[in-house]
Amino acid sequence: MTDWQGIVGRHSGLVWRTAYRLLGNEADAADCFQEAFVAALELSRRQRVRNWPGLLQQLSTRKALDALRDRSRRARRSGQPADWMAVPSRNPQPGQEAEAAELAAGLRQGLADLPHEQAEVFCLRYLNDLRYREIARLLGLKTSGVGVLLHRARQQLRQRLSSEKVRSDVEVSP
Amino acid sequence: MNDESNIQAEQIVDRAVGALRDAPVPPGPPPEALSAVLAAGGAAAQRTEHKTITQRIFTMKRLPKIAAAAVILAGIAALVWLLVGPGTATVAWADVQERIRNIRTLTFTAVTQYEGAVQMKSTVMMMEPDLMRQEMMMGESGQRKQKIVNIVDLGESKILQLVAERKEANVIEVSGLPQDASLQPSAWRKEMDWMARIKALIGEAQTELGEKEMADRKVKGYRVERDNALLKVWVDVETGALVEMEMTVLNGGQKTVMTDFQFDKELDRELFSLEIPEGYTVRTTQMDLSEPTEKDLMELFRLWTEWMDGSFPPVMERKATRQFMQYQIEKLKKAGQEPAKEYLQKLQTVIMKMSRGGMFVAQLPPESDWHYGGKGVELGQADKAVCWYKPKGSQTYRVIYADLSIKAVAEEDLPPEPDEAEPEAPGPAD
Repeated sequence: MTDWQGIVGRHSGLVWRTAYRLLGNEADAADCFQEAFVAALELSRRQRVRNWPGLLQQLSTRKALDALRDRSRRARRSGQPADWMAVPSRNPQPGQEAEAAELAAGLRQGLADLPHEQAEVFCLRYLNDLRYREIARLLGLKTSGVGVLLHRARQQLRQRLSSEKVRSDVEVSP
Repeated sequence: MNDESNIQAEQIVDRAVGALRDAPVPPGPPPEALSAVLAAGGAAAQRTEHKTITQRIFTMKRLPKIAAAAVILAGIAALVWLLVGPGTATVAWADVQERIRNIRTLTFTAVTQYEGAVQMKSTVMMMEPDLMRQEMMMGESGQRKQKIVNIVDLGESKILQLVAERKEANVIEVSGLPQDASLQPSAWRKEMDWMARIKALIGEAQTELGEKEMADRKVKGYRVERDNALLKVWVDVETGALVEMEMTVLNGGQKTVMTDFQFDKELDRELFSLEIPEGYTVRTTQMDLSEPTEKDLMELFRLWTEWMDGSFPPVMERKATRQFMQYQIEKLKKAGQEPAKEYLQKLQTVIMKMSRGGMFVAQLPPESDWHYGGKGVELGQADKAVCWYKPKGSQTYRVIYADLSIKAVAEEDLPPEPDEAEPEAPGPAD
């Protein structure tokens, strides 16, 4: 029988950090946290889970990316920019912090617009530090396929972030 | 592009990743989310076990709980707001009051997401003065849904929940309802100051969400954030009619979208009867919505020390609840036992009780000068001050000691400042 309490106890911090980092606010991260665990629980009823932390990172990343896409879609529909700067900050941000916040926001937006698999692989590699082989196993890919997806994701994100940077530099120029 | 800009472009992804990784993550998850996840495990074992709406409301913190109870009433609040809002500025105040006074019944459909786990569609009927009936189908996807009827009679301070399939009747006796007119529709309509309340709400408000198409209508949206809840209201641009209202309880993971508003539809009074059908098993519980007091804080300390082998909470923050749960589960595991459903329910009840003490602290204003130094303190150490605060209007502080005694102490006689450098307790190992 699955030791559910033990699994939740051991991995709740990991899932919370994964969700919060991508979503940047507590309410969305709490939803994502629960959805990831519930999805993992349902999966465990159907098949044996060998790598709980890996599975939970994958599911929380996937759910958080879904929420980011949803946020992006809603923003497009309403014609309002999405709240990508969702990381709460009560203090005005000095230059470096502001730039970091902008970059983080740009990355969130970029991830929301990337194809599913690319975004997922990118997050698992660069935000969760999973190895190629582990990602490949979790997503049912070849290790070389992970490399290809990462390369494409980086390429698209680089273009996007660079063009945003140029735009914001132009906007702040007199 | 030259070499330097190529390198910069290459680095920008890494810098963005670094920025996201370095962004602060608050301690979490919230205890409600954690207990919902733990309960999901219990529910999986039981398969047929579902949390009903009142059970869910019952396990919420006070604010979400009130917000859940008030979500229906918020419909009227938003309606009034719309009538006086920027989109319909030509409507006179007297007209608005008259319109609201004339509403006798209100029906709408509500789709609610609780804690991200269950989607529930319900039909809501309200009748003046204090009556509400909610009919819904609940159950997780892929499983058979069951019909649940909630009847709320605020005049009687009662909520009746009927689960026909299981022939169960849950009676919730509500006590300590805040004397806040916004939660009591009859008072709300009788008292003139509710208009001021709504005006104040508008004053705080807000952000226009722009225009969009919704169900073949052009609608305009407004956003109000208040009391831990976010309200988005969409109104028909041409007619000013309410089209959709979305309410999100910011920390409770609860979102409700209300549509299909109908006013003054003929409704049978019997729909709101609190009479329990024959053959039903009745369970009665109490829901305390009163303002938390120092007694609740003492109860928190009493329960915590009882369940945590004599130690006091290391911090008075939400993360302490997580530590509490983990400690209990670890303790059980060490004893070679699995946490049974009853045990988890008992834990949840204890956490619920303790949460009122936490709420007492959370609502203390900055001028109360709240200090906490319970980390490492053991129950019974009469010379150790666990915490102190200054009640409003008082000349002296209330100091609570580790033997659970309380003394009134002048500022100059206060214990030494507790060490504030409290490192976060180790979280669960990843």
